[in-house]
Amino acid sequence: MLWKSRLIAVFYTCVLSTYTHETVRAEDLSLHADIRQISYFSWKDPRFSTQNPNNDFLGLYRYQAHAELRPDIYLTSSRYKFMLKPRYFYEYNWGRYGDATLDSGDSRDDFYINEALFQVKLAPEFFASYGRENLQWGPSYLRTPSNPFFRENGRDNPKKEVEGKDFLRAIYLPNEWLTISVIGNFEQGELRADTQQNSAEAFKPRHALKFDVIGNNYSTSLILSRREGGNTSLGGYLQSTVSDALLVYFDATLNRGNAILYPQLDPTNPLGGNFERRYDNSSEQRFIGITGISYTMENSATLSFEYMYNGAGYDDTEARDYYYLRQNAADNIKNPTLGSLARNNLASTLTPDSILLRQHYLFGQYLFNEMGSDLSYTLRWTGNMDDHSTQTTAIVEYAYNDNIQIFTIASAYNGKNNSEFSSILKNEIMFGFEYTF
Amino acid sequence: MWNVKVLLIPLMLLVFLHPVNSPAAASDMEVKKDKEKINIKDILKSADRSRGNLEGLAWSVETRTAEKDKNEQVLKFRLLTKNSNSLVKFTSPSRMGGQMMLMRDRNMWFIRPGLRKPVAISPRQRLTGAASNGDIASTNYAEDYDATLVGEEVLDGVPCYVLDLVANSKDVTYDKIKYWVSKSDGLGKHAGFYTVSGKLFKEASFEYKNQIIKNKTRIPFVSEMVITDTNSGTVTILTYRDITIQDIPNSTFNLNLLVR
Repeated sequence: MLWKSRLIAVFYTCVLSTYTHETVRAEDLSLHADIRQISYFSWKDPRFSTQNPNNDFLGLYRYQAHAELRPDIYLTSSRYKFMLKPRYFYEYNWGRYGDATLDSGDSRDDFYINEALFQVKLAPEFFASYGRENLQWGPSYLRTPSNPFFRENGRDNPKKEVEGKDFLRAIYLPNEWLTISVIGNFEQGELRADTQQNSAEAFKPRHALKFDVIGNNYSTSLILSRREGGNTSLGGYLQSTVSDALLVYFDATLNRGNAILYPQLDPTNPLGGNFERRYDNSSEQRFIGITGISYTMENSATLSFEYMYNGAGYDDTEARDYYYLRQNAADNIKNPTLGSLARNNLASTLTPDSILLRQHYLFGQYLFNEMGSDLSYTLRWTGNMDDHSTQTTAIVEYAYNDNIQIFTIASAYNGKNNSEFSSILKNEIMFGFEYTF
Repeated sequence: MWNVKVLLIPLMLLVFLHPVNSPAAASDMEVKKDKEKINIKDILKSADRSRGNLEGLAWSVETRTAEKDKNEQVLKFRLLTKNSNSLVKFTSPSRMGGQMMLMRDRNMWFIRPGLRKPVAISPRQRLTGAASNGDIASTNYAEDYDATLVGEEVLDGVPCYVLDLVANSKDVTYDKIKYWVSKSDGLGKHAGFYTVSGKLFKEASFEYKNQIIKNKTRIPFVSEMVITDTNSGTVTILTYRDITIQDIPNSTFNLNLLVR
């Protein structure tokens, strides 16, 4: 049984991790592990929209119980660093709604390596690493336009990890304030069982050259990247500590060609059209940028505001066509001859491979996260200024004791049926605890 | 194809705009005029040295915070520091294992397991209780503040210089500091931190029971820092242990290389 071998693998990983929980040092070598167990219950309040008509397309459940083991293991010396993050989760879903109702629930589990990295110091100023990483950078919360490797930056839900991808990196430090990195992303990485539906596009390797400069009160980066096939981008970010309490930042990219799906109307198509990567390997240039400000108040809470312009997102005409094609697909999902084609179009509308769907966004956040405090909370609001849909999220984390943290994450999605944030759910609540060994 | 100039010009601008410490071209007259200031600067340098402003140090810190109607909060971390760069690795409580804070001059990031994207934070953000992020970094008052000797006082039986420090740039945590420095050993004994308007909002006192040896010289090193928030009455005690001089490579403070 596969699940048994996975359980055994996780068990031995945890046993090893437990023995090494306190850092073990052998001369230059140290072994350390942090083990976390995250369990939560989530409830979803569905929205019957053209994206998921009667739940026929996504087959969502109202309720989910999820348990996950997350050991993080580090083996380090002055020259080498090895990091391993195996993961195992088990979840049980029930309460399927709409036409896809099932009598009983559904369970699934998965064992995977989310991150594994080997880093070597070849010279005091030259490093190389290979492995699976969730490579993130930049100061913005909403999205990270300058990162050509990941659309998600993990800030939406701090309890869900972004899947790692396989990278080869060479890093050169000519001096204390400049870093030059050559980054190669050769493999997709391992997709989790619960997110495989999001892999809409075949993976293509991408490479980047990254320059990081750090000054007394600023940090900036310039990133040139090229995707196999021809799409290129020039991106970067700048964050500045303007005063003791005030940070100002920018994160932007100029893409030459992109792999985003755009609606293409076609009168000969029985569904009215389909979705095409219109600008793949083309010379079409689109700018995406975020500007933001972050202010820490006297009580240590931080207020952040961001505006994002997504030049690669849909304009009004494209959005109208998108929802027209989505409506046609929804109307035909049960059609014996057109059902398969309709599902293809709904897969495209679900993940058009764009950083966000439309062009103008506002973001606001109130964050209280004092490191030594038992209680931390975040209130976050994202607004699509084109279709006026919004997403509001509250995150509360409470340290019950030194090992147990209780958390709840609640999200509300508002807007018309044909709008970005209100296409799948009305509300969602996650409640659980995290135990650190 | 991208125009090569378009790519290189911003990078070159960044390189050339980066601040470089140029030697001060002070005239002889200014030197004479500031003779007292130079002595004060030496006093501050001595005090800074015993509060961590050295090349390559590692130490453990335990913070205890007592607040009204709340359980005592205890936080432990290992601090690696080199000049104005610091890396904080939290070790206790268990739930904070794997969390880190990186400080590169005035740039600060908080890193937490499961959330690989570092969060840019400000020096004002509170670490715990009355201690802000800026409080655990090594001090460089000699360079960051213009100091004036305003008198001498005996503090807990120790004769001290009393210095008024005014920030000479925006890049510091506190605008004004009143600093009591021991006359006999050049150690900072007490500090009062003031807002721009002159309101006292935080006080700190220091003990120096630790020692480090540098160039065969024994240097007293801070062992305890007691910070009091004068508004709320919150008291945070920082205890410093296991201090070692280490050759810490610059790469330790590089966000690109931080395996997390």
